Amino acid sequence: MLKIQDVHLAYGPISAVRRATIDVESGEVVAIVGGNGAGKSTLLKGIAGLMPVSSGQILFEKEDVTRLPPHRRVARGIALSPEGRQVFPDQSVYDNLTLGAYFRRLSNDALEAEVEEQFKLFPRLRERRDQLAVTLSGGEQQMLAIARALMGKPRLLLLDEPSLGLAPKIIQEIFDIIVSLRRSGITILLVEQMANMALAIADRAYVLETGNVTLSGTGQQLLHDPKVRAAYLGISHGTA
Amino acid sequence: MLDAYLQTLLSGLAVGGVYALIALGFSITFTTTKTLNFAQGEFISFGAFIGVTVLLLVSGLAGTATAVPSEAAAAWRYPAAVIAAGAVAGVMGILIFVLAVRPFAGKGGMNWVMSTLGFGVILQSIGLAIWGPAPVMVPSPLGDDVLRVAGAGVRPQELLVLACAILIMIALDLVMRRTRIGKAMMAVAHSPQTASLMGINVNLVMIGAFALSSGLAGVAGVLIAPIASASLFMGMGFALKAFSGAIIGGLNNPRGCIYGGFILGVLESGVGLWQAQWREIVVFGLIILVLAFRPAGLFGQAAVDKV
Repeated sequence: MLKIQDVHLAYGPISAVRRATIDVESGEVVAIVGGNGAGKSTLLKGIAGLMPVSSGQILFEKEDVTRLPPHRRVARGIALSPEGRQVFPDQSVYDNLTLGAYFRRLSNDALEAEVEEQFKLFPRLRERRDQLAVTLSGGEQQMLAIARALMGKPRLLLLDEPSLGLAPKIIQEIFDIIVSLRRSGITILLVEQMANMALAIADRAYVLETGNVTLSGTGQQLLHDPKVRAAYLGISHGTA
Repeated sequence: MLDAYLQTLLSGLAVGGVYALIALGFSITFTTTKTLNFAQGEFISFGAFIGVTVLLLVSGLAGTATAVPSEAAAAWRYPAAVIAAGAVAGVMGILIFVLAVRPFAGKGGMNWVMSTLGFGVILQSIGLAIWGPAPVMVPSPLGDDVLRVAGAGVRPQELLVLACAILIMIALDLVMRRTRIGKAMMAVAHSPQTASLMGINVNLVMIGAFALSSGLAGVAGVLIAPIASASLFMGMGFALKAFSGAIIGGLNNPRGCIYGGFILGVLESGVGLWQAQWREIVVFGLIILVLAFRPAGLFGQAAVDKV
């Protein structure tokens, strides 16, 4: 479904991702784990079109989207729930959700029905329907960001650090939702610093270190890989 | 004496309404693109002259070098001139965005200040070549007979300006708050990147913001022309006052800019009643004082972000 081939991303002269090659098959949950500053978020930005790709190619459903502006990639079916949530603080929960479906030009009734679908998945948002997004807790804002991305009816959902700054209980709640999303057939590319949780739910995963893909395998393989355990799971086996 | 106060208040509100329209325009481009159109003054002047040209064209009357005959503004002709001026200025706004703002927007630096100022200078020269430097008296569609409102003498155009400004601003406020395109504009104002993730064509919204902002300046030019006379040098003063109003109100708050415009108009007219020659000194002195104590303007809020 998504083929990232030799993609290079840079902030001016500083390269953040070097020759990354990553595949995501339809229906999979693929995780990208790695430390702070490894280039994980940059890679997602590149896929969503928020950052220009300096070399390499991004194919989505066999079509080259490398040079498409972000709003056209969303229309193709790639939605990003960005790092730090980025909800629109001065707009209501309902309006944030409808903005997620902005490009679909739905009727008001259809919009209402789709918002209702998201409320079923995220019941807490229903209680906050008319509140401004700025008044939500961090966990609620994260749910809103994911729900907003889903309003675009994406076939590929990019999740950037959904656990960032949240309490363990809320993180669990978010991951439960990701698992239930996978069951509904949506393909997910998940970037996480919480490597253990991400690997536990991922079909496959890649390890990104200072801009390079250094390791890949199934979620379970990486979860039990000694190097991954030492570097990202905080479990040492004497070899760091 | 009370009559004089009321009269001062009404004409202050009328001019303030014009300031508010232009200030709102500044706010619209600032919130969506983080840039300002410093050619706004020339857009006001152009608006006035496009109004003059349309009045003469549609009435088939010949104007003199310094006046438009009063019948030319009768009936539907004046509204037609207002709409035409708004539309032409709107198209000019698209041009200034594409040619002078987009190449520099979002890249840091202040190149857009110079490029929009330069665009204004070019416009003024073109305007002088077409219409000449002389001010042109423009008739009010409601005539020039002074109306009596609770004993105070008011020019009908002042009431018309005030009514039009308020109607336009209420309409825009509703559009911004209630419609999808308004909410998309708010989204772009908050974060163009995140807005693009919603499938919003950010570039198109920014073009729209410049068209709207410039259109407002054009409309303001035709509205004020019967009071101030159309002149290619009139716009600069209005734009500066409107900009001050926007700063007082808080550039990032469209409603605040509207209030700021009205406050400035009333203040100016009030000081003018007391000592006309002190008007500018007191007005700008107060602006500096306000900013010293409230740097974000009277109605501007510091952004609140939850981490």
